[in-house]
Amino acid sequence: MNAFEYAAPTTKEQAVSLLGNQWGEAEILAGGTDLLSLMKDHLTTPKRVVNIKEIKEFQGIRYSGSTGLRIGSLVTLDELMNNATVKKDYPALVQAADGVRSAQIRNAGTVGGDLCQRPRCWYFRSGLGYFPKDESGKDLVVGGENQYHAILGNSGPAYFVNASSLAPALIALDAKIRVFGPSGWRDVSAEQFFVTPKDAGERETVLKPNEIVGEIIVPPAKGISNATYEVREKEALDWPLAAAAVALKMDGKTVQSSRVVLGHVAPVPWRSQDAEKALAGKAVDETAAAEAGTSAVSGAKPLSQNAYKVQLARVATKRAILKAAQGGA
Amino acid sequence: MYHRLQNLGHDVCNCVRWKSQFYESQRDPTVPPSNDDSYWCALTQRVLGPDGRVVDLENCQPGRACFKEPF
Repeated sequence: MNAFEYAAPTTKEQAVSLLGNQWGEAEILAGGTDLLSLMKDHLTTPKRVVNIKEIKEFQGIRYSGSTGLRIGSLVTLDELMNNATVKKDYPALVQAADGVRSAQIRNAGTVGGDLCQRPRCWYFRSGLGYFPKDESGKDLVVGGENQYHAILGNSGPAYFVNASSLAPALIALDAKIRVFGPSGWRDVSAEQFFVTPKDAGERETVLKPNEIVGEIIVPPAKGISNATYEVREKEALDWPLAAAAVALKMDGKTVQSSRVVLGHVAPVPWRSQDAEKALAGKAVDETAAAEAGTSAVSGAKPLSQNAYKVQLARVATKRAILKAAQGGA
Repeated sequence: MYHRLQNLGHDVCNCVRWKSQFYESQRDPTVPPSNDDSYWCALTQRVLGPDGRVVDLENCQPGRACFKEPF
């Protein structure tokens, strides 16, 4: 790890002033569960590390019946999943946070960090960037080890999958992410927060180098049944192979409207409007959930080694729908 | 430590590493076998070997270009 300057501001204004205008000049430290491994692997070599953990304004969880749930970006995953309101009204978030292994990561890792974590693609983590190529210029992902890569949104040039566990649930719940920068606050819908980089100099979110995720606002979930379902290879520290988060607004026994979001299958969390259309006006049962699952992956284009993920995403969607319909527990 | 290598039916490259290689423990027969280990290559120190392919007990066997005979 290279030497770096360390700053621990106590206000958001100080923190923003310490960040650079170019990616990589400074990095934000919160839980550090991703940043430290990136630094140890020399994937980022910041001149300055800005620890934002002392900024009280970015801490804590509050609930208001009119505006909903406000989650500070510094809230740890453990705090989130043990909050009484979150447990009662937002099971999709609890289930997503619980999927983050291990307990040590949940105790240190933050909500903001989960949203901003860098790709887990092994080529990216080996220092080959978003678009790894061999010496002849051939794409390493397409012709290589792509068993964990994208099956949706993978027309290139990026094939990694978004690694956030909370993002699908936050998008399903129609959350907005509040970002603080030199010009003050700006709000971005969780759905619009993630982008697929088209250039090596871009990142995976709409954040600018001198902006910080400050808080997340989730609308009141009264009457919204929600759930997350993940499929994983290992019980130990790992990321899911596929996940789905679902929010259902019911009209009696039929679905009035829904939001279905897949995780770990595309460079961004993948909202499936096809699945939402398949559910509209139907009673939720095994058949309707299975049809929605099939619709969710209808546009999938698996790579040479990851066709199995299509089935996992289909089943994750079906099970998340059934789980949500049963109250999310 | 070596229970991972039993019943594989083939040699494993000398450069494959995983955490439980480095401590003595007896296998708990009440815990079902799992693939919870993460593997890395001693040459690259990463999950990809020198040939750019993934490192694990199945992939790192004789026939792979970078295979090194086990001691």
